[in-house]
Amino acid sequence: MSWLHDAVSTIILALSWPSAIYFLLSNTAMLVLVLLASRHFVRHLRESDHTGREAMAASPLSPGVSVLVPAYNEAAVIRTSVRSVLDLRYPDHEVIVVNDGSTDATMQVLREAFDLVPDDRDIPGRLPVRGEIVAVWRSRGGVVPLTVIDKQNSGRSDSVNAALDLASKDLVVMVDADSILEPDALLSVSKPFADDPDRVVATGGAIRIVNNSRVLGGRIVEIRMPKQLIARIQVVEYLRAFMLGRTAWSDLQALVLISGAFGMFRRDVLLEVGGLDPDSIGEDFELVMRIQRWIRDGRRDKRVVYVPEPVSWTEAPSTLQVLARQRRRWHRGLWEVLWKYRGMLLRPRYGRIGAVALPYYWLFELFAPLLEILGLVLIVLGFATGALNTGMAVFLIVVSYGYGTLVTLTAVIVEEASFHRYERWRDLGATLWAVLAESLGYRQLTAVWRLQGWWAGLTGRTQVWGEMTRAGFAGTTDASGRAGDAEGRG
Amino acid sequence: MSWLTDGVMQAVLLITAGITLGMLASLVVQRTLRRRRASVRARLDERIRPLVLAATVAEDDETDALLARVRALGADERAHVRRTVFAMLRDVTGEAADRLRAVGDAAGIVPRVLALSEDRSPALRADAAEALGLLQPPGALALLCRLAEDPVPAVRTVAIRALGAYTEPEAVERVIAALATDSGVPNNAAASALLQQGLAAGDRVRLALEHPDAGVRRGAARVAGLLQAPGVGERLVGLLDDDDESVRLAAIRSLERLPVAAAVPVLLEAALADGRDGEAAAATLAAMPPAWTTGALARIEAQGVPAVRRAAGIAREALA
Repeated sequence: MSWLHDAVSTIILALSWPSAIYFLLSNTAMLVLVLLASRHFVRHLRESDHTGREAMAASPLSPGVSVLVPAYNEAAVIRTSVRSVLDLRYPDHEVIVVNDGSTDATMQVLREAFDLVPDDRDIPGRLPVRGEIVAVWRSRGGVVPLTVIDKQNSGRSDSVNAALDLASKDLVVMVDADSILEPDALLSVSKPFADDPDRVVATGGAIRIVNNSRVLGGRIVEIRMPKQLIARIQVVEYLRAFMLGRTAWSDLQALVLISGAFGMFRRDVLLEVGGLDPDSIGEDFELVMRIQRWIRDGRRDKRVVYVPEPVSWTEAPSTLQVLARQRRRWHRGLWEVLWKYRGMLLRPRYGRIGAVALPYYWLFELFAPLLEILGLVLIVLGFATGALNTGMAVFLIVVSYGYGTLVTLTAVIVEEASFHRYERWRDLGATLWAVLAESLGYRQLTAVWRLQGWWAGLTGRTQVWGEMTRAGFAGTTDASGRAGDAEGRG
Repeated sequence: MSWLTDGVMQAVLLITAGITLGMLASLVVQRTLRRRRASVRARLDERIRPLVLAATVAEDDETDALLARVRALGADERAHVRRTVFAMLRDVTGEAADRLRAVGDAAGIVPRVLALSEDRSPALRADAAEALGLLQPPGALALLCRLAEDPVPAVRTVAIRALGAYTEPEAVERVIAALATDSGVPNNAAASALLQQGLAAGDRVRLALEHPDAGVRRGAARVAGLLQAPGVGERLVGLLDDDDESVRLAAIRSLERLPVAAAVPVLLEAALADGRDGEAAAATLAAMPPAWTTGALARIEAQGVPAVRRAAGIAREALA
């Protein structure tokens, strides 16, 4: 087998340094993002006493918000969910629920709970909607600012578009019916619009994981780390890649992704760019990319802003099967959007988006699983054939996983110094264990799933959303539906 | 790879282990300190809060004794009284607020706030600005006017918000100046302060509707309808063909609360043009007295696009 030894040696010799440099750069880039975000948090915390949120909560001058809630088979939670959205602390908001062809009693529950009557006004039709609208309902006498669209099943994006068409306020926010919202969620995320109404066109809020936290009446009453290790790892993953990563991209004015589970937009801009793309798997990413292109192509002085304050809590996948499906979908969405907007890559016209954010997403997000799996295969082959220098193997592992773990630990420290939502000592222990465990199998597994998703995208296989059986929130009714999809990509 | 000796590797591992231990220690220290601070505050709260509450609701003959107790407290406890008073003042008005201010006085809050207003830290100057708005000690207005010109926009914003509690002409003047596009103060914050000043700002709002700066016109237009100040209706109508879209929109929405018959033709034109103003114009027309708008709504019904017809509240059946 000397030929195999020689071949593996040659490959390892050729790839070892590029791999080491790649992982060094990848982790350093994430570390820089985490440090940039920490600088933002220091400023944010210093000014947090003077945000003017109370004044905004009481002011009739605050911009109106339409909350768009697509719902599919949510009969078990829809009443509590809509009630909690209606009860959000905000001076002027309406709620538009879209029953997306549910096969359960979602529509019936809504009609009975909110005393709905038919709304016979015109449907604007500014956006094409695929699912036929069966009826539009509103609360009797307009007592409750609630509109319900009953339509045939056509998916989440199409449902959001249907709701957007009927929205009447200046700002719209998309939330999932199964998300748990912070009482001040609308105040937090609309504040950048109120402060800079001419320039801010979209904001995203931080999404956190609710598994094992205690929820009563649609509100979180006690925050706890999830019980399952797989969900705990996602907590630190959300913290590092989503909350801190996006805060930094926002500060760099190069934010290309805000979560579909809590994104707020100027309604006129959303209508102008055509709403969500119902054919896109990564519809939230695609939308923000489209808005960024609209901004740059039109040389508009506009901004997309991320608000790191936790605004929405969602249930994360707690089984490998569901997690695998989610990650395949996310990576496929990432590939499709990056490919669709490849024309923006490295083009000076697109500023930091083209020069920094997109190269980062191509190099350190899209290609990451490929290089990670390739590296692991080479290390195993190298050991098996005796071709690998032990020192180099240790060096590669330290650079890729050890450095990565330190970056994640840095993110945990930033969280501890800023929002510190997990107050129990045992939660800190669980967090640290998750930080370590992320590199011991989780990253490798997700890399495989991501590669599968990418491959599915390249070969054009049909994407299936799938169902997730929910564990349910402690203190609430169990529910099932499309879940664990609050976030997407780093 | 000749440089990658055992010694180098050991050094790398040792450094990594050292950094990791340092980070873990930092986590534990942060959490321990935070918990200790919270526990100290909770203990102080147990003693101080009842005293502050008692002084706030005390009968006149008991007040002096309670204030004397506050004055006799130690430095840490008086600092906690100041924090408690400051937090409570945000939610309390009227006589209870006056008594809270007296408690704050006894704890030495005013000299502290005055000193903070000149501190080098912008965050502390912003603290001072907010406190000046809540405590309203003698001389606060002049200080707030000065802080409204602070080099740091965040301080200016807090000062403008605090000036909302004052109705003196110079306070109104500062707030209106803060509506300007390049003031660095969010238009919403300045407009809310103007609204808080109420009818005392009415005359200046009317004049501001004709200000050359679009930000000032927009802010004034947003507030005008809510203030219902005399004489602003006609000026709002004048803004319906303003060059700035946000000014037009603010005027249209204000007219919903302050209907003016002369606005109907211009609103109808906007509604039928179906720009960004179209829906707002239709909604405003729908809110006006039917005697003025029957003809306009009939034209919207016949010629308006669906979004505008919906905003005007026109039913689908009516089309048939």
